[in-house]
Amino acid sequence: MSTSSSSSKKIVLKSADNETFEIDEIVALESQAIKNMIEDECADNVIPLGNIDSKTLSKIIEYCKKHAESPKKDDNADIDEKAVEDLKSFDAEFAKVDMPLIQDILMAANFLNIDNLIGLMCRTIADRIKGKTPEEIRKILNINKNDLLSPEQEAKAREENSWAFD
Amino acid sequence: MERLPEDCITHIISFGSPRDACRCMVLASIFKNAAESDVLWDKFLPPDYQQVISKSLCPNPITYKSKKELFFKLSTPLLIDDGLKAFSIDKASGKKCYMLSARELYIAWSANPLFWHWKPVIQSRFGESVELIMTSWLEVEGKISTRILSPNTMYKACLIVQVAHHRAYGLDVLPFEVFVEVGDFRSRGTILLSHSERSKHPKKVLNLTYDQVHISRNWVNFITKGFGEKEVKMSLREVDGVHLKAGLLVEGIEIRPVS
Repeated sequence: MSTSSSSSKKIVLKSADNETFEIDEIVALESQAIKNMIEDECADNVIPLGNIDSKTLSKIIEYCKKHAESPKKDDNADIDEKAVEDLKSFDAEFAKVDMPLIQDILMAANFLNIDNLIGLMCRTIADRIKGKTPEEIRKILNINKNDLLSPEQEAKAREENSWAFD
Repeated sequence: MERLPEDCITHIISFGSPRDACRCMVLASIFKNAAESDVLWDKFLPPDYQQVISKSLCPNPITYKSKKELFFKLSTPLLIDDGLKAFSIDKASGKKCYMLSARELYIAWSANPLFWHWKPVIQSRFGESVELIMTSWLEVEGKISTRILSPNTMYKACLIVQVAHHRAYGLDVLPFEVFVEVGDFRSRGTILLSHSERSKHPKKVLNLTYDQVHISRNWVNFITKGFGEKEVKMSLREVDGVHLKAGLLVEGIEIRPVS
């Protein structure tokens, strides 16, 4: 991955499929988990991310770059509204991907502890299942058959929450 | 989806309403667990619920094993402020609801037993309701602060009354004026009360002394947005006619979110 400035400190991330990504430290700091590793001086060479594939990792880096470049809310009380709007439309575009990738990004963001991205992915999933029937939601999220409740458990859960289905 | 950790699923569910959360219970076992978590129901509970419970008549009114159980216990009315108000949570949305008892309202001439009669009513959740014996000047007003309501919510105010069918007269001659004021916002409308409501519920007439008439649909709505902390004034008046009116039993004013 190419980087814009050469003077700042670099961090190298390695995906599960052995692709390496060189990024500015400031971008990597968007991840609380990597930040902790850097602070504990455990991040000297390459950080291996054995559970994140390159497709997911490149999406995550795209997100972190954009957010690292944008002014932070707590830095300055009156940051210009254009930057806020710009970030909002970036997030909206970013989330326009298929459900398996959203789930992969959410898993990875959860592992890397990137709060904003976790929130964005959770909200995206919530929006896509909103107002849908349980059957539709199972299909959208591709819930494994083995994870379903037993027919007795499901009937009980439906009865206990029957008011919510009226 | 089974790979997602439970706290992520709780996070996803938290973007929906309490009703959506309950619908998620049937999806899969991990959803059921996620939708029962205390973290989730703590978000659905109004932030000041402890303060509200502390105003209850009983010192320790509610025992619960989980935040979900507490949420549903609070969805049935809890008498607060010396029993003059009732608090509850709308279980579908998690929004706060209040009912002001007749004793919490300003009712013109209600201290005069020739005009109004205070008495307990079995079906009422409050100790007392007040029945109109006779007056030409009918004026009822209730006040509530937007501070104790849920923010950014469309509410409706409902006057909970019953019409005493043997003694009612003059109530349907002229329409009642209803007003809602919040800060500079003012809204007014009219409603028509009918003595013949009872004919629609013949069974009720046999069993009960009164017919319950909810006038909610006609009362003006208001929204708790952009007002900051303001007083909401809800009133009902029929003062134009000089004719006598009687037989209106006022239980209180209910303030609930519009679904």
